[in-house]
Amino acid sequence: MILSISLGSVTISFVDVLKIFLGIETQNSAHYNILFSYRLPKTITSVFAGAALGFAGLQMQTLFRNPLAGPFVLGISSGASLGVALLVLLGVGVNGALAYWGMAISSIIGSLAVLLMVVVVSIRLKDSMSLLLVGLMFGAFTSAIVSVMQYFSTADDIQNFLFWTFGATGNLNWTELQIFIPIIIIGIILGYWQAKPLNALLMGENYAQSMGLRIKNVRLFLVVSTSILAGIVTAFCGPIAFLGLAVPHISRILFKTSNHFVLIPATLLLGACLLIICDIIAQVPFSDLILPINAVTSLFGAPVVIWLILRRKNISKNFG
Amino acid sequence: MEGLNLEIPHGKFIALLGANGVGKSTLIRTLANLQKALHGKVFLKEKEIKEYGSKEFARQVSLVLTDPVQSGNLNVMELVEMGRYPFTNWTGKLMTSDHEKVENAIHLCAISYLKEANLAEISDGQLQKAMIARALAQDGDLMLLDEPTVHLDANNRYTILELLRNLVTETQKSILISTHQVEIALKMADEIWLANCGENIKCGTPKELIENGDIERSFPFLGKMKW
Repeated sequence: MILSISLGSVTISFVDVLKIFLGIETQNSAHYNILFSYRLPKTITSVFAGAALGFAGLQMQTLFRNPLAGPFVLGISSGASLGVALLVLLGVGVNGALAYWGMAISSIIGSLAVLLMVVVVSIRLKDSMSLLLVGLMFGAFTSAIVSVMQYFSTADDIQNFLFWTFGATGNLNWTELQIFIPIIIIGIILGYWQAKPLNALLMGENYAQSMGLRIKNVRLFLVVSTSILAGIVTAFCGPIAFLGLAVPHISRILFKTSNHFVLIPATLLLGACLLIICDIIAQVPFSDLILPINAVTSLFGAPVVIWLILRRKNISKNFG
Repeated sequence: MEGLNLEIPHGKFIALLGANGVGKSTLIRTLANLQKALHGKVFLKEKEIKEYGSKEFARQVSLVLTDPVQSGNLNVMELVEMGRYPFTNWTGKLMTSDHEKVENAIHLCAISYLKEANLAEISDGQLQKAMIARALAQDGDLMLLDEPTVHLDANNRYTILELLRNLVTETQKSILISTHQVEIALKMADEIWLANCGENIKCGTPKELIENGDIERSFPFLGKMKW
């Protein structure tokens, strides 16, 4: 975390960073601004966003007993992108701060709409596999609508929308963090409360029910928790791919356990760390370049996961 | 199956026999509250099972199914501990009494030597014993097992059914199994439920059903397997 605050396009010496934190005067007040207005919020955002996505991914993988599930498997990010697309591609042009809030809100509305549909379906379905497929279908459907909209949009609008899809952790300032952090904490608490049911679900829904679980309730909790976590991150940072899928697997491999009481904190921690690392890489320290975080997560994350799997040689036995 | 009127008394080992497809699994799953009965009612201790809360029911009835358990990262101890699930709070922490029941179950199923073993590493027979231990640790008055010997070798088929027989004798729980191991079941069960397509289930002790020829009628090829 300290690295993340220290590195960036403007060189601020490590000593200076410490000095500023300790409240000691330094020569350059611009450094102070950079640290507090930009880098620190960005780092904090990465911590919470990474933790949120990792945890959401874990919930989905256990609920659906599917190693390919991630936080967006219910169509949340597609709903979010539909919301944002409606605003950017069809809406009247908005500028500056209003644009950012506009995108965040439309993203949340899009996610909520999908969440609502998913919850309604979830209550009526007996088994989770069906819910997974329905979620994927919702995702496909909303993505298609977005495609159509892009087809009919101007180049400018498309570019604006595209930038949103690249994902960014740097857009939040302290005001927004005051909303971001508590909501994520709520999502995490909702999910952590389900740690025991998640463990029971490892044996499949029939056994879980035979041990006293109300499957429909648990499913609802997990769906809502995941949607809150995935939805809020997508709203403020754009869709950040890959982390939610990979972090639970890495946790399982590193900690060699399926016990969610261990896995949940592990995933939170690992998710936070990984997103910070990706964020540092995306900043391309000591240069002026910035890479889209969405690309960085997959670019550097995928080889890492492959390496881990090859080391372990067999993931299907360990899964679950 | 239609027109069923069945009763599971205390402390009995009951084997449900019948050809493939006659509905044995369905019956067990309905009794286990995993599926709704198409018609009719199921009562557990005078109360309809749909009136039971999930946890309340779980404290009375435990299951061993044919569903595959793929959690390779769990060890046997953790698996059996799951049986205490209906009794622990949201953190899943086990109290002394819970630990005792778990140890007792492991001991009765003779798998103490496997406690630390990973599920992915043990054999099918050992896994089945662990699953039975888990259901045992749940400590209900009734255990329902759907084809507990499927996928097991000939020796294990015998030892598992013998284990269940001994469990009933020792713990006075009621155990209902569905199985294709007709001869072993006839030897070990207190009561047989014989299911035939289109007919009512015939209940009786093994001796009764052999003597009145029901077994031979349902399983005409059984006699042909004597050497």
